[in-house]
Amino acid sequence: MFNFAYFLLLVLLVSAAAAAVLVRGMITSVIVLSVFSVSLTLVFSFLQAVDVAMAEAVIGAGLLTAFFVTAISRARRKTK
Amino acid sequence: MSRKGKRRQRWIVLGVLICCALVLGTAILPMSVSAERVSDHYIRYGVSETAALNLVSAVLLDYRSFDTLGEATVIFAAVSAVSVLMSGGGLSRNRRTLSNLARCAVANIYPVLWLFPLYVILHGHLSPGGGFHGGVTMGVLLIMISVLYGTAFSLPKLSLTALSYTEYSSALAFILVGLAGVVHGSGFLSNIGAGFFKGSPGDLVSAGFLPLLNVIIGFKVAAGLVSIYYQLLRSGD
Repeated sequence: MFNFAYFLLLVLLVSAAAAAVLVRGMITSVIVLSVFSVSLTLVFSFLQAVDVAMAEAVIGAGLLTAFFVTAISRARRKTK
Repeated sequence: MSRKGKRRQRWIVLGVLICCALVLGTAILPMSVSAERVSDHYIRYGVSETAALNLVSAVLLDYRSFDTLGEATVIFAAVSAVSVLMSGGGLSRNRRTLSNLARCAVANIYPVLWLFPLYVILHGHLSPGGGFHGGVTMGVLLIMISVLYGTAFSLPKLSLTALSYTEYSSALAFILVGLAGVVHGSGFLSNIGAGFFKGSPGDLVSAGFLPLLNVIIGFKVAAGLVSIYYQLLRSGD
C-alpha cells in the first residue's frame, strides 16, 4: 500500500513537472509549478525528511509563486 | 546537412559530453570514510553534546554554523544583486487591492497565521524547522499584506530602509554571537564550549545559542525576501 501511494506521488510529480512546461499561459504554468512543489513536499515527508519538506512547501508553493506572479504581471504591463 | 541540423548536432554532442562528465565526476568523487564517521558521531552524541532534539538544526547551527554563516551571506549577496539590477526608478505605490471578500477573510485569519512562523522559529531546536523556514514564512506573510492592500498601504508601515537595517543588524548579530566564542577563548561560533546555557534536552530555553541564532536568521531571511519583493516592484529603467 505504501509503495503504491509513493509510486502514485512520483507519477504526479513527473506529470506536474511536464505540465508546467507544456501548459499554455504563464500564470497557469506557475500554478501548476506550485502543484509540483506540493507533491515534492509530500514525497519528502514520505521519505521522513520533514525539514526539507517544510522548506520546499514554504519556498516552492509560497514564495516562488508570489515572485513569479509579480514578475509576470510587471512584464505584461511593460509590453502593453 | 543544413546549417540548422549542424547546430543541433553540436548541441547534442555538447549534451552527451556534459552527461559523461557528470557521471564520471560522481564516480570519481571521493566518498571518504571520515565523512561517514562524522555522521555517526552526530547521530550518537548529537543530543548529549548540544542538547538540541532536532539533530538537523544541531548540525546546521552548532557543528556547521560557519557554513550557515556562508548561506546567510549568499542571501545577502542575492539581495544586493537584485538591488543593484533594479536600482532605477522609485518604488511604485499602487493602490490596487484584491476583492473585499479576500481582504476580510484574510484579515480574520492573518494573526493566527503568524503563530506558525513564531512556533517554528522558537522551537527550531526541538522540532523540525528553524530560522530559515520561519523566516521565509514571515516574509511571505509580509508580502501577503502588500499584495492584498497594495503597496501604498504597506510601504509607509514597512519601508525599504527599515528592512535593510534589519538585515544588516541581524547579519552583524550573527557574527557577534560567533565572536563571543572567541572572547571566551574557545573559537569562532563555538556553542556550549563558549559558556552558553546548555539546559536539558527538550526545554524551550536550552541548546546554547541555537534559539538565539534561529531568531536572528529568521529576521534576516524575512527582511531579505521582503526587500527583494519590494525591489521587483520598482518602476524600472
